[in-house]
Amino acid sequence: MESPDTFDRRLAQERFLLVGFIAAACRGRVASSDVVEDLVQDTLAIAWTRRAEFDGARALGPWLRGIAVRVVMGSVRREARRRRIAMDDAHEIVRIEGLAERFAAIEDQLDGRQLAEGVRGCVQALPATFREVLERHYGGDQSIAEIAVDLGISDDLASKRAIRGRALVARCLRSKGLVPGSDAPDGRDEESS
Amino acid sequence: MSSAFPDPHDPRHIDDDVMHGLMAAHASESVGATVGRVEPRGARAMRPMSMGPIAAILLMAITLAVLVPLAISPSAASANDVIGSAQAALAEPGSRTYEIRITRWGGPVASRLMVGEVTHVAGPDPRSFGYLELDDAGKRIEFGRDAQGSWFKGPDGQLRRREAKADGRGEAAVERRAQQGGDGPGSAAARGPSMPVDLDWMTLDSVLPRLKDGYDLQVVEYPRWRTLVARRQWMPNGIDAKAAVERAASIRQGTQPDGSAERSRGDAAAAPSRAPEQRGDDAAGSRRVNPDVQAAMRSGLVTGGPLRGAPLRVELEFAPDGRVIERARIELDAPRAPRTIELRLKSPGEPAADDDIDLGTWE
Repeated sequence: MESPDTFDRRLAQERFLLVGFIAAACRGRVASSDVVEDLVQDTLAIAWTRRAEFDGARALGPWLRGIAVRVVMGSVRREARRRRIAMDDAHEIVRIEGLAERFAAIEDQLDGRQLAEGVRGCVQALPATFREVLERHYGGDQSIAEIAVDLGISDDLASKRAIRGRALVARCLRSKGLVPGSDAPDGRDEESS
Repeated sequence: MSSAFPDPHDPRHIDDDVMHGLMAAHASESVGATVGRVEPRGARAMRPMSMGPIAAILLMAITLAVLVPLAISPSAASANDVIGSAQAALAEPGSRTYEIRITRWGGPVASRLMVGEVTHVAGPDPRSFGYLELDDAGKRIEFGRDAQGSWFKGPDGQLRRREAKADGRGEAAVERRAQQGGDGPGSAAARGPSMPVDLDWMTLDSVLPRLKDGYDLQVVEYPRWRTLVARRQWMPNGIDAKAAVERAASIRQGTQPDGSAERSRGDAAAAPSRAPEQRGDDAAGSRRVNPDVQAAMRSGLVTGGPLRGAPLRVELEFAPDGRVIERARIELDAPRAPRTIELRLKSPGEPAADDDIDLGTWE
């Protein structure tokens, strides 16, 4: 078993990708970023309490994502019950597992720290109109509708700026070789909107 | 076969969901990622607020408590300075056109509205000119002021210069005679060849200097607008229904606008006496003779014409620059027929405002 300090350091290194994965998995399923943070904490707490089960010779990321899939699925089920909506468990698991594979592919290429630095640089390089929307949405926890009101633009335009801003960040990451894939436009239809 | 579109099932495909997750992770790592963001919400809610935010809130509350009243409350300004700057603005080369509305009321029902325009031209040859529509049939008079004084041209097309009167009582007497004939002050018979209203109160360049004598001046100033209110001293509360009644009774008794009694009229003795309680405080004020006001009257504050008295109240609203008069409301006091002259600055090309005054509800 790893020493607690070593395990903590590895957890800290994995945190960026773990937050990213849980946020992607919860997208459209839970209401706020606070819930995402709670799920991240739940996942880290479970990992910490079960660290004895972890083989230190293996990669931590897939193990963490395995825990996160179950944590997120539990949350998504609770949310579906609360909102009284039907949920296709199998479909949700396939979707979340697919996301886990994508994050694994990213992790194969570089670690969380390098990716965090890359995302920060690409966001900083965004044109101001896109960066403002993304920073308000993710940094300021504002909904697209709230951003639209604040900026005096339509909901549609705010949404398009968010989508296109993300696409531009993805292109930037690909061009720097930080994420897999060529620099072909990702979500071409989005960027042309 | 290769496709131009990425395979959504390719694990190497970075789609919008993944980018959403990376952006969320980036936000949680950024400056905004405080201790609060990595603790469960329950724990965050239970954490007491530190002294820093409390001190900031208290400081802001104190600042607002001090600054807001200063920002929204009127500030005192020198009325003479305000009048001086308004005169300077009027004297700047160029022209300004004002819409005129004159409302008249009196008798059992409200009277009609007259509209027109007046243009002030400043510069080396300052002058004013305008017109007033007398009725719906298109009858109008033209009027103006120039270096020689006031003039007007009636419907007959004849140009008349204003006759200078020593004390203004000549035309007042003409009007009184007309009233005794029962035509009322608004009739042509009552007006005779004179203007239906005092020319001098329709041109701002003559209004402004007159306010310096015989008026209590008050400047109400807010950050974005400024208003000058001038109240005639002998009736400090301005015109209102009670004041109009008082004034009419005062006229019947032969009291002059300055409060001094005119004993030359033969019917003064026959005027009905009023109970003291009917007069009220205003009446007592109107009886008080103010030497300064009398001097102002003699020096041209009231130069005669159909109007007996100077305006009861003048209100000037200024543009945000504090110099240019945007609106003026001049409440004249004529026997039985108080009139209000309203002037509204017209911007070039601006259409005339609609007549939105309900004339039937003034009484």
